[in-house]
Amino acid sequence: MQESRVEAFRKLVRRWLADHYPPELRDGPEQPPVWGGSRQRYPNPAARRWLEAMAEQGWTVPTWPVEYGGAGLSHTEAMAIRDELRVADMRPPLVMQNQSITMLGPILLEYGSEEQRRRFLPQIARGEVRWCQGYSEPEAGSDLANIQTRGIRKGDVYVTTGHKIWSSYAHLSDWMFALVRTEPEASKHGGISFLLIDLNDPGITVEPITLLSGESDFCEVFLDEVHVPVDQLVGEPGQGWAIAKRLLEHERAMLGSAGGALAGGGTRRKSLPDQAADLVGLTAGRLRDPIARYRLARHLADVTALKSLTRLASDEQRRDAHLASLLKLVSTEIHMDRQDLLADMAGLLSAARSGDAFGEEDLQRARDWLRSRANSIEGGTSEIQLNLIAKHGLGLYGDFA
Amino acid sequence: MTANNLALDEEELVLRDTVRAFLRDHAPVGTVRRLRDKPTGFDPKLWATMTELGWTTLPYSLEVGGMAAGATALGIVASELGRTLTMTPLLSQVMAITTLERLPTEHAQQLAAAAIAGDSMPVLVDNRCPLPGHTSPPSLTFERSCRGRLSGRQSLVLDGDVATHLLVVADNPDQVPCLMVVDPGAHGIDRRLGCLADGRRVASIEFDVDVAPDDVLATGDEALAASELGAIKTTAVAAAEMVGAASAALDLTVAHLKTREQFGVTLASFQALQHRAARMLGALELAYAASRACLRALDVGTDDGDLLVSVAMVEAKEALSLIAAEGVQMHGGLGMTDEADIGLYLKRARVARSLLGDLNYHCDRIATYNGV
Repeated sequence: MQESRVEAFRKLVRRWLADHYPPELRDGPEQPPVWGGSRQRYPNPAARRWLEAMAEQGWTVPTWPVEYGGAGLSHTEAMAIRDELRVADMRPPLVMQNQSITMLGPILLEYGSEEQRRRFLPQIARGEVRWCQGYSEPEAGSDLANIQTRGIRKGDVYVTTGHKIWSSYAHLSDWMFALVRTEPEASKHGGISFLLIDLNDPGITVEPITLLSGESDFCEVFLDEVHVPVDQLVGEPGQGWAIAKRLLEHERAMLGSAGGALAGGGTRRKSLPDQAADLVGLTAGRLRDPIARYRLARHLADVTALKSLTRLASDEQRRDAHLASLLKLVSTEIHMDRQDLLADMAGLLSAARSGDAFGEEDLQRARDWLRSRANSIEGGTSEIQLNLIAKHGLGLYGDFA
Repeated sequence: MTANNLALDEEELVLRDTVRAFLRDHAPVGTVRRLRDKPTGFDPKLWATMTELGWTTLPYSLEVGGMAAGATALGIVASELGRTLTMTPLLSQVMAITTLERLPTEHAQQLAAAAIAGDSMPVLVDNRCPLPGHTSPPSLTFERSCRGRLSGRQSLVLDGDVATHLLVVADNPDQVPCLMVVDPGAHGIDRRLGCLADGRRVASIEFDVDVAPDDVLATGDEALAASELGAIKTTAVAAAEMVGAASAALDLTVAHLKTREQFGVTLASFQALQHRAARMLGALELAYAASRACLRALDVGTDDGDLLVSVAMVEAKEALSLIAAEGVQMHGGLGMTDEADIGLYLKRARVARSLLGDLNYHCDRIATYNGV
């Protein structure tokens, strides 16, 4: 795309955003990020108005076709919108890195029927429905194809029974896309189908899982003879594994780019150098502990390099299969390294569990460190990513993998 | 160059492919075994050809006979030289000529033009290794205010053996840095030559010479700014060269894993080796991106160039060290020999690790840049 066209579009976006961004979002009541769905709360009502305004522009999902709630824009134009939001310090109307938009959306566009697209996509675009993922099971983690949840065809429904685990935020979601074994005669990989399941249906129980940090981001989902209409099958019966793999590529890309932001510390807190200065202290403008200083600098080099790699991949429009895995692997490890650095600098104070001896920041740091241990496990373990990088990036694979 | 886009444009890709093909034919890996015991550590005919082709003159202004092509283009050439471990005086020349080009006097401009034309080989001698912020005491001092006697020593000056002119930065008694040009053949200059592990040449130089006022090219901030620019450009180019070497070393190692068989299968079948190779690729990708970002920043003139140069050095040194060491290991017995090319990359990695500021040095700069 010619540079002048992008520039013209960017100016247009900037003007529109300036005209329509509600000032109450900056100085009104605190609003947690908006994930959408029926359980979404808006302590700041301006957030809901903002979502509606952006959805009407088609800018919550800019690259989707207009008839499904998008604006039919190019990737470059979508990036321009994202950049302009960031530069103007405006919050995105919807959390962009979420299952519905970055994972299910592209799948429905690629594999869904026209009827499914019209039924489900606009609701995602407007933030009315929140989706979660029903993939892993107790016996099927890294070996995902080993799923046992069964869907038996009876008339125009699949009677579905099984047990899903690690469904992110299922307790806050409305629908779940799930891998279900519908073709018992077929092979391990060939018998899996991709079903869309309404979490309000009878027979479904959702239970949050408590993590090391005390938080509950993941859930178990129990399905007991749930009737899933056949028109909620995406693609062909037995096509589920191919669709699942495609979706996981999107997930990796999402976690990789989210991790890039995460690796840089996100927007929540003080910068890492500032935190280091607070925790370790400065003498003549330098961190008092030379080893902490070195480790911090070494970490910042990796953070900067990762940003450059993300940018380079985008500028080169890279689509190579191993890149998403690499970005996921590297960004999660950088983030865990950041947590290790902070832990060592804060010392015992950040090994807190509870009590007045600790400040709120200490407790949060402690939770963050524990929670970060999951980064190298969720979204595909680092070991799986290394397998994929070796296979797709270097052509190394074989009998002993 | 497409402003601020990290992707290589059409022209840059053509340059890369052309240089790659040229070096494959004229200076493949292994050439260093032929050159390392020769009196001159590089092939002057190859260097002259590269000069004719314009590859050594890319970043300099048209006024002094350069091609005004910027740091990225030079980085592309350097990267290809790194892939084949080709020996050239590129780094010392970038350092010296960039410095000279930055000085307004006719004398300096003439020296720059002569070097660009390939008629001379100036080498910068500066104890602030290579970028400002280094805290060790000056090893060169200048006796009187910009005229008089230069005395001191500087060890391990890259290409100090073939220098036709020495551009020396030394402090006068008022602690004002002066940049002067000195004839290396003059009485009172003693050079001890050395050959580094990768075949590159250095000279430790002792100075005890008179310096005429006309030979002082610049003083104070002007001298510092010029040599600083030279150092930053050279460091960026060196990082690109390291990334090229790392890339080729990884290719070599992966090829070995795919062909070498033990226990009835290729080494590529073993997951432990797959994972280690994947980590090598990860390190390379980060280093490559960091190098490209720093070169583009220097071309575009953003003010994070200083930071990005040190980030590129850290990532490039770590990637090359990791890949070369793992590469040797994965070659097994073969990796221990002089015959196998992977060992040549290890030697380059050893030198690269300590060249133009080690990891501590660049991490120090990164921390300072970040206000801690």
